[in-house]
Amino acid sequence: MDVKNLSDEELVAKILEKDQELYGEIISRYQSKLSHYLRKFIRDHDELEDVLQDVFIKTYKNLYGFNRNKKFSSWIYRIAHNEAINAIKKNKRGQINLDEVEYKLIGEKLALEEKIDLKFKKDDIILALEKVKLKYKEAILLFYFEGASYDDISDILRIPKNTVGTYISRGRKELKQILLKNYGR
Amino acid sequence: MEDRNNNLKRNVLKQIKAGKVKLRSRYVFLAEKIALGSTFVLSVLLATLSFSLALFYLKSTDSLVYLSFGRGGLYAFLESFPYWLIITFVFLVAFLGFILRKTDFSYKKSFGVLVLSILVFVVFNGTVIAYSNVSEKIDRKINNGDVVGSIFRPFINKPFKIKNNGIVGRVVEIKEDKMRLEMPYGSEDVLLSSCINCDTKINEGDFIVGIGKRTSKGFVVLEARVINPDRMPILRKRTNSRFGYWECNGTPSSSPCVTTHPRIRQCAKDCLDKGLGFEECRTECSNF
Repeated sequence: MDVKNLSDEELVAKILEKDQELYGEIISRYQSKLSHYLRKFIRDHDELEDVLQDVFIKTYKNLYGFNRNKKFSSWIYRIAHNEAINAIKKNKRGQINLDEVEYKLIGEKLALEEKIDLKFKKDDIILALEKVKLKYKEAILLFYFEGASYDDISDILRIPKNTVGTYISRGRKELKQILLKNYGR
Repeated sequence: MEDRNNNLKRNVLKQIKAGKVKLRSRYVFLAEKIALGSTFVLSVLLATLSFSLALFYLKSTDSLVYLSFGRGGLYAFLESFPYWLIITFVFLVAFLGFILRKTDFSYKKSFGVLVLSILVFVVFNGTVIAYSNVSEKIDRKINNGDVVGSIFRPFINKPFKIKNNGIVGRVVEIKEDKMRLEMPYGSEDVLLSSCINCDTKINEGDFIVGIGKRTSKGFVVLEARVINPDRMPILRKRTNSRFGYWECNGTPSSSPCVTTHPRIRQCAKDCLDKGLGFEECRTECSNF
């Protein structure tokens, strides 16, 4: 049996049939993705690693609670999301961390969609994103940087699909306003 | 980076194998689901029951009648209003909203729409129950000191307790400046000397409703009028169950119909219990 060909949901079923070793495959599949997502909220590498480990442990413990009719990816992202929010609350800071590609991506998307011809520095975008309301910021991060669909975001953030669209649109508007007001040149 | 990744994977698997990290039992999740579902169903039932009882007491006691006195009757209305049932109802609807948020499906729909749907469901069913004989049966259980009824008693006894701004009861004796009334909580003399708008055709045996003020001398009536007891059947029933089926022998008396033939007494009791009106029962039972 080649575990690589199994879907996440099938893999979960196998793990629950007493093959705990297979959980390593789940970790391999999601470690980079979740690390990438959590990095938006947690800057410190050690803290990020601790949170990531907590996510995998929590996911394992609650595997029986996973509804196999739903997408596993949304479920594990939801756990990661909750852990990230807890970490932010614990440290009382909401730091955003973007890499080179990501900051260019959001800068270009914003300029393109809002029909403005402006270029922003990476730090400006990071500072502006930090000022955007958390609920809008979460939707923006998932949509633009994690490539999540509206359905996935709805499952991860537990909000109606229509609200996802509203949050992304409002978040973008808020981000644009903050950028133009404070860093527009 | 690769090393870090492997370390994390190794670390997590090591904890799993060592038994430090264990799967939560499937039965825990099952129990959680059952508990959540049962709490939800129970809360819906209780909310429906609270609403239906509130509506039932409003329509079958003196509460709403006080509003016909205008502003003066407002205090009496507020005094007899079944607050606890309404508070319980509101609390339960809010609690249902909270439970809904814990479910897996609720976030797919707007929270407002879900709460509104529950509200419509509860209000509709509560109204149906209030106008069926279910509420009456529950009231009977409450009045009879039934175990189930005793849970609700503290919530609904307000309309049947002494009020400071309103009075309702059956007239058993009329004197120059006062009259004696029989009420669910007992009998009482009310003072008429200050009455500025009292019905002139009050007879012994009539049910009256009035507004006024309770003083150290007793209840001072300011306005009073005769009321058809069919408009507040539960109040009449409770008065009857305390003082007996007085109407059945046709003679005013504050004591139960001891002088009436047992068959007539039984007939009147059965007839009134069936929910028929006083006049109807009198006609029906006078044929004995």
